[in-house]
Amino acid sequence: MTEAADSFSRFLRTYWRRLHLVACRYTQRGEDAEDLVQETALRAWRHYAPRSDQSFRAGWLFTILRRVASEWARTAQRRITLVPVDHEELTEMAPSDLTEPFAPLPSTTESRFREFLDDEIVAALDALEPNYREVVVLAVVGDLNYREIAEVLDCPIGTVMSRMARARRALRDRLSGVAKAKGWRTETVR
Amino acid sequence: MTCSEVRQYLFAFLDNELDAVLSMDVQQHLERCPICARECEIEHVIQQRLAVNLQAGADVPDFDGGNLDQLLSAEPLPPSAPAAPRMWRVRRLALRGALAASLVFAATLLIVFGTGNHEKDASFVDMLVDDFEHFVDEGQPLQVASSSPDEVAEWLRERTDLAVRLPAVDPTLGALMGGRKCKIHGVPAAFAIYRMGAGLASVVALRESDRVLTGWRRIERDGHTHWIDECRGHTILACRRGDLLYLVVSRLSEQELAPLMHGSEI
Repeated sequence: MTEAADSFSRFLRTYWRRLHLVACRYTQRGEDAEDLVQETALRAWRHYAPRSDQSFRAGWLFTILRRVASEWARTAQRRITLVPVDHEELTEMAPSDLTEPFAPLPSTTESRFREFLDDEIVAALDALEPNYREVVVLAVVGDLNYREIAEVLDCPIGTVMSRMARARRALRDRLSGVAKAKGWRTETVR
Repeated sequence: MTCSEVRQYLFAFLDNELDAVLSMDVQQHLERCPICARECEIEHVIQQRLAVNLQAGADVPDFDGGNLDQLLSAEPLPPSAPAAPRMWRVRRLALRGALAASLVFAATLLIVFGTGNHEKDASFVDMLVDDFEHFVDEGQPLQVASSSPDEVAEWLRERTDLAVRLPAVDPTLGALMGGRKCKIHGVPAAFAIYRMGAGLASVVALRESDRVLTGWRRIERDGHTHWIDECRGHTILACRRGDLLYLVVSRLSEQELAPLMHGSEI
């Protein structure tokens, strides 16, 4: 293996698992996720320049994955989580609702609270609007920081921060609704 | 810092995305406000369980250096455009604009002249051309690089489960460059690329032998039936062999593509 190939192999190995996990959320199917990651790896290798600052960056690799996922969705005409978003519209939304109290949930000291989350949390995530779901997935399983997510989404870091807060609040709202429907005792904290 | 301000910054705080001063302000508030501390704890647990559950449900293949060897040995296609997301977007917008204009023009023609008896599946042809342009213009890499039709066909057969055969062409007229697996309308397909004189031609094989090629020009050649269509300056040739539909897409003319169809496997 050449020096460049060896270096690329090490680079790719670092993000291999995280790429698959994020791809799984884009496609909802393991087999398709594998295809997406392979295509991402091919394109990354195609443009890989070990001495360039552009390479060795998580944001760069996940940007390629997102583009591949978007093309895959267009070609395969499948349901996908990527929707063009008007960043201005999102940033201009008044932040006042971010200061409102959180939707009520059972206390973490409830013995079955974690069990409840394990049963419901993935479904609650999948029910989020695509733009919200994506930002959470990139952070939680992609392990990207806000700057890297901003690079992937090609938007200002302030937009990522705002969208992340709204996404987590929406997730919380859904979990709260499910908890209430299932008869959990919840506390409203003000 | 008030409770409402803490709520505004709580997620960024949990993600370690606040600057040192703000982070310290939030931390100090949490130490003296049990209500906000409780919310912080709930959010922390939600995030933790989300990470655990997303990872637990995924079947991630092991990183295999062996697979990577093949990937790295594949020759990328010339010319290589460097990754330039903004330019790429401009090209896509231009392509969409052109596509929209084409659709308006086509709709006008339909209104003026009617559909007649031949309703062509224009979207299928359009998609084939899109894929070809996408591959060639953006310099997509090949997964297997070889000038041997048997070698590439075998590689494609193993990975697509399609009984693909690829044409051997006279070396003075053209050469196979390699192939890759792909999907068309979500259906597994085999993709090979040839350099024919000054241009490129793709050969796509997919299991859609019952696709109706209504509206294509039908020709008989060497005892075989071929169909020909044109779209956005591209020539598309089609033929059926066994349960596979083969499609050749190129900016080259029908005559220049003839070696791919003459006396070859397809």
